Amino acid sequence: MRIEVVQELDELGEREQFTWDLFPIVESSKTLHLDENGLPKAGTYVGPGMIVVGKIGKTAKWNPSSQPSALEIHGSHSPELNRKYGAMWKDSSLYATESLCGIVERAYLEDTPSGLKAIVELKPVPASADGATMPAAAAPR
Amino acid sequence: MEDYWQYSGGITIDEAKVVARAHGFALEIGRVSRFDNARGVVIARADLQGDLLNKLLLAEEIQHGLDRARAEASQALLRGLSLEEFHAELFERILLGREQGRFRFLTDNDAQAIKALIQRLWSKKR
Repeated sequence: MRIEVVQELDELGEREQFTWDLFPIVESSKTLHLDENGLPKAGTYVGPGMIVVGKIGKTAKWNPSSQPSALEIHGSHSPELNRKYGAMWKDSSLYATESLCGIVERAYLEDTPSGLKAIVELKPVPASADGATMPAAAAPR
Repeated sequence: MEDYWQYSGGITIDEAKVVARAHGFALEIGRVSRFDNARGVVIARADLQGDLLNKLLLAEEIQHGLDRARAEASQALLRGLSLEEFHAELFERILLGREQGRFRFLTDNDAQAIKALIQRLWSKKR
C-alpha cells in the first residue's frame, strides 16, 4: 500500500512542516516511531490511531511574541502548554485507521514543484481485535 | 532571550550527539529547542547555524535534562523567578557541573563567557 501526503499551505500561507515534533499539541511519546522528517521508521507497525506521517502548520492565531518560555516548557505540564499555546498550531498529521495500517516498508520525502511529498509504503496488516496490538512479527528494526 | 553566538562557538550536530549521549541523553532535531522527556535533548533546526550547534545552547538543554530529577523549572515557577533569574541559576549549575567533571566540551573560554552571561542575566533580572 502506497500512501502519499502532500505539504500544504497553513492558515498563514506558509508551507506545513513534516516533523515528529508536534509540540505543544501532541505529546512526543506518541511520535517516537517518527524520524525528524515526520516519517515512520522502516519496520514499525503503524496501528489505528497512530501517526503515519507527522505534519504541522501555523494557524491564524499564530503570535510570534507569545511563545512558551523555557521556564514554562520545562516547568509546566503538557496539557497546560497545549491549552495556552496549542491554538497557534494545527496538527495536520495523517493518522492510521482500521483500513490504513500495517508495517512500514519504506518512507521517504520527494521534492515536487508544489512542495515536499511524503511517501510511505506499508505492508498491510489487519488491525487486531483491540485495534492497536503490534503483531509479533513486526518488531521495529 | 540571549544570542548565545555572542558568547560561544558551535560544534557539529554529530559531535553534539556524542556529547549529549555522554550525559545520558539522545539528541534530536525538532521545531522547538528544549529537553523532552521522551526524546531527550531537542534542538530546533532554526537554532542551528548550518551544521553547527551553539555550545551554550547544548549545555543549557543538557542541564534542563539533568534538572528534571529535581524539578528545577517547576520550583522556579513556584518561586516566582523571572526567565533571566531562572537561566542565571541554570548556568551557575552548568559551571558547577563542569567543575565536577561534566560539560567537558566547554573550554575555559566558554566558562568565562558563561560567567559574563550570568552577570548580564542577573543585571536584567526584572
